[in-house]
Amino acid sequence: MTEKSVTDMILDKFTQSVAGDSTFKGICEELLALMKSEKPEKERIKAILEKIVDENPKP
Amino acid sequence: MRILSLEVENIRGIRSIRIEPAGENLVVFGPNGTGKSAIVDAIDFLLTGKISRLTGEGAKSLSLKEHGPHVDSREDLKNTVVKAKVKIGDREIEMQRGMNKPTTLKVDPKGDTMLVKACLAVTELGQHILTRREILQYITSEAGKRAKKIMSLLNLDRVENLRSMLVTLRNEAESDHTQAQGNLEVAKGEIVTLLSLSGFSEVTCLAKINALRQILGGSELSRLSTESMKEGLSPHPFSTERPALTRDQVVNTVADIRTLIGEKDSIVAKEAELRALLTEICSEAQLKECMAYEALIRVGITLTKDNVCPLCDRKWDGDFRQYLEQKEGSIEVAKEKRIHVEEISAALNNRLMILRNEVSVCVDAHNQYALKAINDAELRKYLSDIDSWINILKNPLGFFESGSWPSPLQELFETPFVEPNLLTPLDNAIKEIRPEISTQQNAWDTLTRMQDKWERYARLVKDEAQKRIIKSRSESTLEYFERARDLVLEGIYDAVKNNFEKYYRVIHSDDEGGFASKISHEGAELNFQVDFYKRGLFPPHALHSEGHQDSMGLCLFFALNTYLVKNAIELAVLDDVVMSIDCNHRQGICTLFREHFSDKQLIITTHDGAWAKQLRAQGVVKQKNMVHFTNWNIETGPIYELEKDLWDRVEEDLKKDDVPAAAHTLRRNAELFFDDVCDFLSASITYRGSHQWELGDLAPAAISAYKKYLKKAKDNAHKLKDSTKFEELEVLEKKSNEIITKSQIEQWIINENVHYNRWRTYNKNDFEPVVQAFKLLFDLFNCSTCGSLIALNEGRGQNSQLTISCSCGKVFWNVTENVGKK
Repeated sequence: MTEKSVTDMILDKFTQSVAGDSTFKGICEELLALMKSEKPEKERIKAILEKIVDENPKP
Repeated sequence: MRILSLEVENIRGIRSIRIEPAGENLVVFGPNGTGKSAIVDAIDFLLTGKISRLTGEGAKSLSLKEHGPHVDSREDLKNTVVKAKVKIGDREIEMQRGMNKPTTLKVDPKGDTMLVKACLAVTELGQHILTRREILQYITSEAGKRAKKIMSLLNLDRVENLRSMLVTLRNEAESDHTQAQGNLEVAKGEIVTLLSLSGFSEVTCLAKINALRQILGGSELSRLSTESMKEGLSPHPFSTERPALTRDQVVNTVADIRTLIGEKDSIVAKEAELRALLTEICSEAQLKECMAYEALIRVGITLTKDNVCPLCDRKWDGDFRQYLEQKEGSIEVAKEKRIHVEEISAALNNRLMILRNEVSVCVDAHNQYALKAINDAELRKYLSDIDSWINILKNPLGFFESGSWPSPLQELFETPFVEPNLLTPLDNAIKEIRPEISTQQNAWDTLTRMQDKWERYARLVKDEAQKRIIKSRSESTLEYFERARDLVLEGIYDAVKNNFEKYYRVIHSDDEGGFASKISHEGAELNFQVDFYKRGLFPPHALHSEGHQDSMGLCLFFALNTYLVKNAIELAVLDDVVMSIDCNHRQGICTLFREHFSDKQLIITTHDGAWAKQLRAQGVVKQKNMVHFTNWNIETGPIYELEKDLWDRVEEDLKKDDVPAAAHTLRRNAELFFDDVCDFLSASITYRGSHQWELGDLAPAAISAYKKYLKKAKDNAHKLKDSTKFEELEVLEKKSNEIITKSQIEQWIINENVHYNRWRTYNKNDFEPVVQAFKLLFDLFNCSTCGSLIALNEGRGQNSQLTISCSCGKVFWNVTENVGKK
């Protein structure tokens, strides 16, 4: 078993949870793409988590 | 990949050595300090370009270039080389690596380079070598360290980095949300004061605003907004350019300050907690250093651009930001302390901000009503003290360290100052003042001020909602990620656990046949527990003996190896790993090797000659693959003997017509052989104080035991009416008697040649029948299928049997006394 496959298995399960959570509506794909990328950066993940909030805030 | 031949030049304790295991198991044995581990290091270096013994914990001062070559070859690295001919599939490939260029692996034919590299990728995990140090890491280490070791084997660094990043994001989001909540509370408090409300709610605000609008003849609003606040109202003729403070507002402010003072005890307690935390941090140099380091890394992350270090401006080879983020994640304790400091500081800051706002209103009131009762300078100093505290709470550690921590926060909330100097005079002054402005102007002014307050409130509501969603997302992201990781890892640990138990039961079938274990992942820890004789699960080093722990380490290594390595590399190197395991359980290990790892090439080093012989006798390793390191010195390296196949060596001597040499070889090896046989059959032998027995002592004792057990087995077969077995043993008895008789007749020739030096009178033709006789004699004690020596085994339990058997079970004689009797 190589590192990639263990990591991929984890990210696959993570994808299922995120995709089924309406809180992530609109940012799900972008978030997962970044998480699966070779070098995900914290600031970029943070920007994605903040993104939809700017467009559709819930007062 | 299997090693066909290995050549080592000037590596560690070795000067020059060539070994040819021909792709089969190999045992290197000999006393401590004879260079056995150098063979392990050489293989490690060839496969990985590193020597794991020179890395890791306790090896900081060691380096490959300095300590990898033979001590006298450090200046001549060109001659420090490991070469091997290996077999991958049906390809025979030569590999070579030198200390002068450790990262370069030469492969011949070059076309097979990719094949070799693909095969060696798995060696990056370090799962090709097991040492005693590794066993300790598996078994006796703390759960956190074990988790790191196993996670590193599973190559989960990237997963851990992602998790660490998500933890940081979650913590930041929580901190941001707490701050946003505090700001919103301050804004609500201001509105409550302005509108003289008993508590904040949008409904009561709307009602109050509508009441004010009614005073000014305005219509009722159904919802509040900054724009609608004065909608439809004309500017009041008495309005001032600057919205005035109302009398009620000042009264409310005084009441609010008194409420805050009522919280004094909890605020003072929080400050004390903060000071205690800062004292702890400052008194532990390492913790303080870690916190400073963490702060530096956090700043570094924000300043890093294009992989250039912001401190030294050098380009980093790789992803510098990711490197810093990994570092940040590794300083967990410092992070926890920082977050705790930030949390307390944020809570205190929140109360101080509210106090500051309220006191600011007091200052405005002072100016507006020109209240003589309040000392202007004193009031401004008080305000300045609050500002100082707010400033300090932005960087509490810095101020604490520099010794500029102000007088206790308690003083700001002490009634001796606030009450007599601020609140009571203000209270009294206001009582004497009649409302100077009309109700209409008061309503207009309040609406004007309310517009600002409501705008701020609306902005902070939006901000708090945003921060709440980000916090919720950050928490969910981390939760989903950790849950996914745990699910996947649990699956992996289950697979590893099942193999671990299976292997352990093979070794300890006699006393722990129902052995079970549990591997579970909790946070950053990997808990490993094992069953102790059905009395429950315990840590592996809690109740089991050291020998059992060694077995566990070996089994866990192979269980992980099975999962991780699969068939990518068939090689496994075991460096002196069974030192605490007793002889009976070593037999179990031999069974494990034969039954579960026959597809692997095992390279085993041991200081224990008995274990080496057991491996040979149990058919794990052939005699020609026994390398005996007898001694070592710095000039020559290991002094060793290659135990070639006996019959090949005798044949070589006879080809040269050197009968005395052949006789000497045969005699010496026959002594070693019968020494093992006597041991395995528990043969009776005349005791010698010198502990040295000759062929004349050993062979008759072994043969006598053999005959005795064969006869017993035959008798038992007869008693048990097992005619097939009886006939089989009768044939064997007849055949063995012939062989034994023949060998005894011939034995004197060996003695003659060795002891009386009459070798000139004998030639090859005279000696060949002797060789043939001894070959047949040796075969009596070896299984023709598995090659192992037959041995006397005593089972356990009430109905246990005494048997003579081989490793594979083809030879199986029941030699139990009193068989058939109840």
